[in-house]
Amino acid sequence: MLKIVEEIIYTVTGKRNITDDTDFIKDLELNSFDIMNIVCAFEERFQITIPTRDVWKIHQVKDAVRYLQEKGISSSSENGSEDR
Amino acid sequence: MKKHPLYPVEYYPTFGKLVEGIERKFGTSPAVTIYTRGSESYTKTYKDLAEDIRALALAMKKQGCAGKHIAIAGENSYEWLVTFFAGEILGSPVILVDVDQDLQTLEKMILDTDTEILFYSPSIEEILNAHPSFRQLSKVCLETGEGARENSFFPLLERGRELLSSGEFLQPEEAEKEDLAVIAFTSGTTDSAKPVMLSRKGLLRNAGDANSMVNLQKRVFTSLPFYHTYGLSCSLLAVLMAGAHICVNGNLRTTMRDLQAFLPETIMTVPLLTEVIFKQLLAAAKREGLEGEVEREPRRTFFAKEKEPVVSPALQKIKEKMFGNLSQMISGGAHLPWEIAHKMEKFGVLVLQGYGITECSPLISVNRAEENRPESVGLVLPGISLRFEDGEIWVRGENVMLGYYKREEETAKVLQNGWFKTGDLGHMDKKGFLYIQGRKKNLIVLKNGKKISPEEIEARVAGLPMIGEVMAYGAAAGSFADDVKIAIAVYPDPQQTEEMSSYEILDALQKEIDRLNDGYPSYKQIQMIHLREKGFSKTATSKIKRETF
Repeated sequence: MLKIVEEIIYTVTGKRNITDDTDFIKDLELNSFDIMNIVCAFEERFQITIPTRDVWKIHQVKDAVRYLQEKGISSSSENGSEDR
Repeated sequence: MKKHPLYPVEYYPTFGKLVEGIERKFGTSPAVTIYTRGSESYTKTYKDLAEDIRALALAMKKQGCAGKHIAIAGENSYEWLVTFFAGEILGSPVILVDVDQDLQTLEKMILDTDTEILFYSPSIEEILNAHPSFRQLSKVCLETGEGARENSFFPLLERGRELLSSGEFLQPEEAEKEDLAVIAFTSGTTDSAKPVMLSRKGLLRNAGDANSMVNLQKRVFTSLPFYHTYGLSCSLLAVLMAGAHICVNGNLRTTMRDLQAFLPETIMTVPLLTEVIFKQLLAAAKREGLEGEVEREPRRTFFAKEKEPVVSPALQKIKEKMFGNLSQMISGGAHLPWEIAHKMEKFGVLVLQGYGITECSPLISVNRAEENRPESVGLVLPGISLRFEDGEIWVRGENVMLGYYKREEETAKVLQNGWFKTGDLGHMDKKGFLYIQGRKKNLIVLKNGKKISPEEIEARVAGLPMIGEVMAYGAAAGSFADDVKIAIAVYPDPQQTEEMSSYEILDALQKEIDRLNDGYPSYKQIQMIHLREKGFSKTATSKIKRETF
């Protein structure tokens, strides 16, 4: 799962070397535009909707992974990866 | 510098006259384009818009809404703007609610302003349903399309259309006697967000004055929220008054997509988006090996009378490929580094910085295409008088607020014989350009135009364990001097942390802050903690001396 998240972050922001503890704002220095672009990429890739108020709770990569897992997404259940 | 004449503008005394006027003048021209989540778009003409406003107003009148306080809590949408105008022509004060707020603030904004009817976005439906305080209100969901529920926008609009076709009509002029048009909020949450009462005349005058200074051109893109006065007055009222075609975006997720699909000539925005666009243009220039061209200053040769033009044809080509005919960006809400404006000009995009404040409806000054000093916030609008008291900017004019709603004491502190004390420090040069030098009041100004009061952050943090004293501030971050993130300096409570190392304190505090951050959008979250070994110096009244930090 971490790998998929890492790949999405790389595609959107061009940033690599991501770990569980990487913080989107503090470590990757993303602004609100970048964060929303990542959210959109998650939504497209996994065909889910992420409400804005849920986005507020995602600070680090591990929060994103946990959130996706709670939504019932596992690394094998990704959709639409062939488009990328 | 020769003064350039103001652009001719038709001013409207009421919203009813405005709707009538723009329908008559611009009828079948496109007024509003909206892109849906699925990338489809729809466009409404001025005639469509005016008809929808009349229909909704009529249906609302039948439901007894006229004159009552109406709150709109939603992101930008076509439904939002139709509801706003319908409320205005019914003479109902419209309360503008920022949906990015926590429950407590939403409650205050909606209930303390005596709202009776609430139009709300589906994104906050869950919160509204979960809390009993909202039950007493009549509610209409800003949901549209086929299958929309009974108490939502679309069926209400349909009812109005039926009423109109059965021969009923509305006489809006009578309704607009009440001068209070809007209650908007200053930045901050709960107690620090003040409800600002703006008048009909003031808002309409301000939007007209804005048009007398800047030629908006034909296609305008806005991502500014209409629940802030900058978005409402400058990017909605002014654009419609000018008969331009506006693309309304209300979601950061789709801002760039919509922008590149619509290809505007003018963008109304905040420094954050200006910078995002600049960075994209710069990256493209680098890819083409034209980085030097961005840095190069225009030369003046010995024989040439004038400097070579600022715009670089090669860079302009890059801009055209990415953003079409984009030639102008109006930036406000926070300070834009002038270097960005300067470099954007080389790509053929003029960035005009302006200055406004919610209490002034909001625009006070703006640069003009013909008279532009990027390091300033421009020339003062024609309807406004300005003076400086100990460096503080005071403003007088029709645009100045009527007062804070039900807060007479706070109103008296800032309004004096018609003069509004902005709390901003500045000066004016000989040519009339205004420069902002700082703020009398404490505010952290973010690039997206949002302002955060440090006291509000401190109050949020003070209740956490281990906190002895805390002070919030904007810490420098990113590549420009104006980039700030919210930081706190903490002096831990010695008793609670006696046995702990600094590392343990910081770790435990970080966990608490992370939990606290969960309830706020990313720009309002605390990004940095600085531990102090000593308490802060205090004033005689035991307040922390901010300037000593």
